[in-house]
Amino acid sequence: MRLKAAILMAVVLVATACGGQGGPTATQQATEADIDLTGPVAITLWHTQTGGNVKALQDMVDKFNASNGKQITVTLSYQGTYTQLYQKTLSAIQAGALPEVAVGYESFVADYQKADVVLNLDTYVNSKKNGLDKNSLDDIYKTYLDTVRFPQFSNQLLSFPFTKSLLIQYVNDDLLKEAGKSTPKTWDEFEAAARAVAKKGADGKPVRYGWAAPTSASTFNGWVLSRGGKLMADDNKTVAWNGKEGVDSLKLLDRLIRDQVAYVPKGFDYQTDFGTAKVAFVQESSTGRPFFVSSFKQPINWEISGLPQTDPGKAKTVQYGANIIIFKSTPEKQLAAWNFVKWFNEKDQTAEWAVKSSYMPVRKSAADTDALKTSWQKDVQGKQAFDLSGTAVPEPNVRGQQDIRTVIEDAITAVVNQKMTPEDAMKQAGDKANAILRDNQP
Amino acid sequence: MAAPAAAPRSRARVARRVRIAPIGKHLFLIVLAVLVAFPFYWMVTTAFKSFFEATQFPPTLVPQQWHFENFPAAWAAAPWGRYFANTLLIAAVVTVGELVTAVLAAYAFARMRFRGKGVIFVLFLATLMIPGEATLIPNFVLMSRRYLNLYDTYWAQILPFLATAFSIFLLRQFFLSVPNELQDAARMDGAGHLRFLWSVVLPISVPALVTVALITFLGAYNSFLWPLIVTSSADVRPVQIGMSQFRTENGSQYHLLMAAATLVIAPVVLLYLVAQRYLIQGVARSGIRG
Repeated sequence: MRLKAAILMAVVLVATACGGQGGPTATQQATEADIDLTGPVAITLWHTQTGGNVKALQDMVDKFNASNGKQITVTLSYQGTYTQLYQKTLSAIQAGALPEVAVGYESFVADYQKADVVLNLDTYVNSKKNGLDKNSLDDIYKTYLDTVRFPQFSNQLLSFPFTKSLLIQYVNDDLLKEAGKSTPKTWDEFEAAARAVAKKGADGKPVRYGWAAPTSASTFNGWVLSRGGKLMADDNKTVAWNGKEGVDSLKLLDRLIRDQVAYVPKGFDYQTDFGTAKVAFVQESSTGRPFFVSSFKQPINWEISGLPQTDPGKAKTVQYGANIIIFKSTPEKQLAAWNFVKWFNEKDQTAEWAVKSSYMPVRKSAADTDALKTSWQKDVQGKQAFDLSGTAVPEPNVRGQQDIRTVIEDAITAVVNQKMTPEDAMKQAGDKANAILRDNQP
Repeated sequence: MAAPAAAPRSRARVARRVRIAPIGKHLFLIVLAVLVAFPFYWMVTTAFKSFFEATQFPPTLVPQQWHFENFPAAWAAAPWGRYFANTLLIAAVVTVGELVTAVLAAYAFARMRFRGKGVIFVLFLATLMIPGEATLIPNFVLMSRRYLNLYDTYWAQILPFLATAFSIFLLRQFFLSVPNELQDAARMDGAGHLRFLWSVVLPISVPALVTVALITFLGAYNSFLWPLIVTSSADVRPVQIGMSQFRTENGSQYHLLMAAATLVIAPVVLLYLVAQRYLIQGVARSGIRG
């Protein structure tokens, strides 16, 4: 009951403060975001980080707990993979046992908000006392903020950037040089380079591929964007990836797989294949860099480039990564959570997190920090990935997107297994996705 | 004349066949044993490989270089001491608790007469058809502050597993095989149900009890999703959650994962080796087939 009352109070306060509108307001009144924290506040953050990343995150949380000066204590709680975290959060919504903060993808937020449990951060961002000024907001890459603003929910800011990365292309320069090719800028150049690199043994079986193509929905979305396509119709009621750009993407994949120039890797095999010069191109998340490097048997010449494009002058790729969600609780806990989120995204912290975790810093100014400058001297490809940040475009954050991702992946699998033509696969997937969107209109 | 000559030849053929039959059987069993043992071999050898060697293709059967440092590295990745202690506590309480409930329920279904016994037993069995995933959210809600308030405690990991239909079914099948004459004799000596259960049925049911205990212990020991869902802090979490520290969204540290798996699985393998005789007897005598 206390939770219900707190949620109700929060809703009333937000509604009062924002006049029922999402987005920045011209005139500011005192809101729950402007209160003072007078006593100790403990909040819990559900996350998915493991290995070295969780240690880095714990170090940063310890630093925040020791230095925030407001008696805020953040406790980390590991919740498995993103899928497990999502399932647990849905259960926790039913049980009234949500944490104050959790990480999650945009599609998760859209589903959680069905239960009206996610805090609208506009009130906090715009708070005179505890918010962010214009310079600070402008410093954060627009794409990272665009993805956490939800058109289906009155354009509210329903989370904040946390673990950001982007779809980029890992290129084995040694193999390209051997084949007499340079880093491809267009898809035609890409196909020619992949074919030139691919090799078959005396028995006719491939011994080297041009392209390892993981069948993920995000990668497909990146292909569509790079060909000048759109992922959603302007009204967000139908998908747009099922047009020419989607079909052309699958046709290329189909063609190169049939000719044994490309293959679909299992698990993370593509990392070792790349490191042992068995494949020249892998399109994957920029965050995978340390795993690629670990898989090098001996040092190789490699780089990170953008995806091939139809129009290299208007390069686009997909933005990956999760965000941090604050759930509605008490005004004190909400503000404490916002203080942590704000601190975590400041220049020095976002740079530190980027260095330790391989995620992208969310601020442009982070590039000026000594931490990143020093790191990029060794992690040259990290800088190459960072320089592509401006080309990243958010994936759809509409309700039903989680199911639509499965539809896309099924379509790719059907083409790869030669069960369907690219045209039929796109047609069927588009119809299914639109039906999902129809069923999930708020 | 031909007949007496054919008889020794036929006997020789039979003798040869008798000699060959065990060889074929043993060869078949050796192949099966290799198939069963290979994953263990793979896990242990991968635990000693470098990251590169653990992920390369074609894979190596024996580590090119032995990386003993993988074990300290895996051990340092999570609070394993705490996880092991938690797991042993949870698995032990679940095992004892389930044995108590299963023995009493199975005895009632096997040796007592009461109205609706058949229907109730079928209802028990029907619960075996419900997938665990379907009960995840209702059970989580039950454990939350709103109801039992057991979230993030040992009890949340113990309570839902204190009675299962499978154990009751297995023990019931075993108890049914206890001769009625024994019960009649006990009754003539003045023993009630509990005395008969304690003094006669349980002593001759050790293989079945060990089987139930082993299956329950292994289930509790290997539990991952439920503890993950119903706990938040390392103070009460089990070993399986520690294993997930080596998987990230962008890759897995297979060599460390296998080192951790070797450490985690060692107590279970030891337990199985000690109790395998009872396990086989229990399964064979209760009519359960894998």
